[in-house]
Amino acid sequence: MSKSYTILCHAEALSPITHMSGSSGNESIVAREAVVTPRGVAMIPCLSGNAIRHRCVRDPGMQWLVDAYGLKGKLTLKHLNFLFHGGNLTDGGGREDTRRIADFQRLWPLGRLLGGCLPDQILAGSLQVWRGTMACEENHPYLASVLPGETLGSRRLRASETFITGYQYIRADAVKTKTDLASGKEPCRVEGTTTAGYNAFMEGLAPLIGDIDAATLPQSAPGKKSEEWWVETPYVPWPQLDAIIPKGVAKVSDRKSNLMIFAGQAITRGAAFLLGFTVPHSSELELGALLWSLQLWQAAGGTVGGQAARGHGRLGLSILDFGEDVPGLIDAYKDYAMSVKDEAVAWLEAAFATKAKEPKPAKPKKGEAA
Amino acid sequence: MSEACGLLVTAKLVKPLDGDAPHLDSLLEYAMSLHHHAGEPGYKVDRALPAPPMGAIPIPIKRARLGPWLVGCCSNPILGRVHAEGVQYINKRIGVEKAALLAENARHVVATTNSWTKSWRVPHRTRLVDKVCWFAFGNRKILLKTLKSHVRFIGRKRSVGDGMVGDWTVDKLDHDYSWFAPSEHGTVLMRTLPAGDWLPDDLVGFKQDFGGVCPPYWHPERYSEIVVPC
Repeated sequence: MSKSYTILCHAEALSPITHMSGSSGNESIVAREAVVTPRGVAMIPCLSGNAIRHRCVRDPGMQWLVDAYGLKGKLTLKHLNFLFHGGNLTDGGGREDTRRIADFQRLWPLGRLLGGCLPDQILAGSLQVWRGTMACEENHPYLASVLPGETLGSRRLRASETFITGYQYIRADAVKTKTDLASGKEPCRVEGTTTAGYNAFMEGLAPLIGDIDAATLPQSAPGKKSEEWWVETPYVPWPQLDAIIPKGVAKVSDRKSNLMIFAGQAITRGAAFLLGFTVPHSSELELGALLWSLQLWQAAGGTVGGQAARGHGRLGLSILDFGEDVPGLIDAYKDYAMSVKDEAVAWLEAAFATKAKEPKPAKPKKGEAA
Repeated sequence: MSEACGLLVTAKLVKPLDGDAPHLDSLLEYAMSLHHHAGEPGYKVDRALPAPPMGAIPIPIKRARLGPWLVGCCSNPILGRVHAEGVQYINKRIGVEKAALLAENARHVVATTNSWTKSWRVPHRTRLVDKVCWFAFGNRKILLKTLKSHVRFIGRKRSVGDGMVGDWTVDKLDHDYSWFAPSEHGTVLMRTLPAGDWLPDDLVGFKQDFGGVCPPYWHPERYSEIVVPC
């Protein structure tokens, strides 16, 4: 029997959240949404529903199915696109295979929630993911309207800007940090402006390059019109090269590196968000699929936004009680998914099976009757 | 329809609206299509297929026939004050980081600038509107129950939380302004209607166009000469 559910979750930032919307200058900016406040419209940090839908539900849920069904290493690119990104409509339409829709909804409860797009048919999903709303002063009216009863009450919340912080990292360059490892691995171009410097450099270079004749190196020797020169040296360790570089020419180790500073805004650790999932006319299996996906996402670190590799974006999720047996629903879903494994895999293969092209009738040869 | 009267339907929005607000009759038909066997479920209606029959799905607002069309007694959506306007981007790309899941013969270079594997970054216009209203003629009690039970989001990108409705209200009115409303300049057009001699002679506030007058409004078979409020 189907029933409509609304699941509300409290999500606390366990590390800086960098769910970005773009950049301003060279600084990344967190995603924000417009909110009407008594003092005018304010731009408040938020988590987009699109990101939550993918990171918290589709990706972990589908990854589990792929692993459980033994599909790793067996998928095509179209399978992958359908399962993890919703697929694309690529073929001509005009047909709706209702049996295929019904089978999909029966065999893939998570797919029934999220929907998708086969090459020739759209499969509607039912899950409505709310935007992640920050628990802050500006969002108080919204939170009071969606949270049950007196959960929020007259509790005071801090202004959103108090949760905004920043980060800055430096991407280092091996030219500065690992000279000893890099030396001797690549050619180096040395440039100078005097003939005397050129002669001194070539004299010092000769014993360092062994059998190679210094005159055969790629170079531009100083001439009558200009004393400027350059030489592209072969594999000479940089410290040795620096030792023979004449005065007035930049040493290899002094050259400008590509050191890069990058910075941006972040939502500070401890900030809280309200996440919501509306599941209209859902079966208990679909609800179980949603809850299991959320649990898997949490178990895998529970990150949203970018820079998870640097420890950003971790959210601690707790589901507000909605009167259902969460472990029971999850177990029921997992048991069901495994019980229909063969059918589900067969459905997936059939849905993306390449259609045999009908052979075109041969053109009649000249002189033959059509 | 018993107990039908003029109504003012209001959706109080708590999240920005993506795209345009829907027609009330199409919103109700879509919501009810999932429950009613007489009509096709909304998601199975396709412009490549014949349009579903008009009026097959019962909704709690009156419909009236104008020529060949069965037109719902509800005005076009009226947006409240737009507090802010913006653009949000919906992104999509092939998850190449999951290449290890691919079969050996499916691992190859993927074009990300064309074909079905093209990456998207599609801009969507969003507006921060505090409320959207419709004038309608119908049964207040059933309409309110239907909207509260089945419609939590309106507009585009509902599946990711846009156009979230905080509360629905339906107020009774003494008059029916669903199609026309009186004014000192003449009769004001309140909803998209088929062009024809049924329109009042003193009609003001409209322009002629070509489009649909009943759900699904976008279906080619629904297109005809129409007048649109402006």
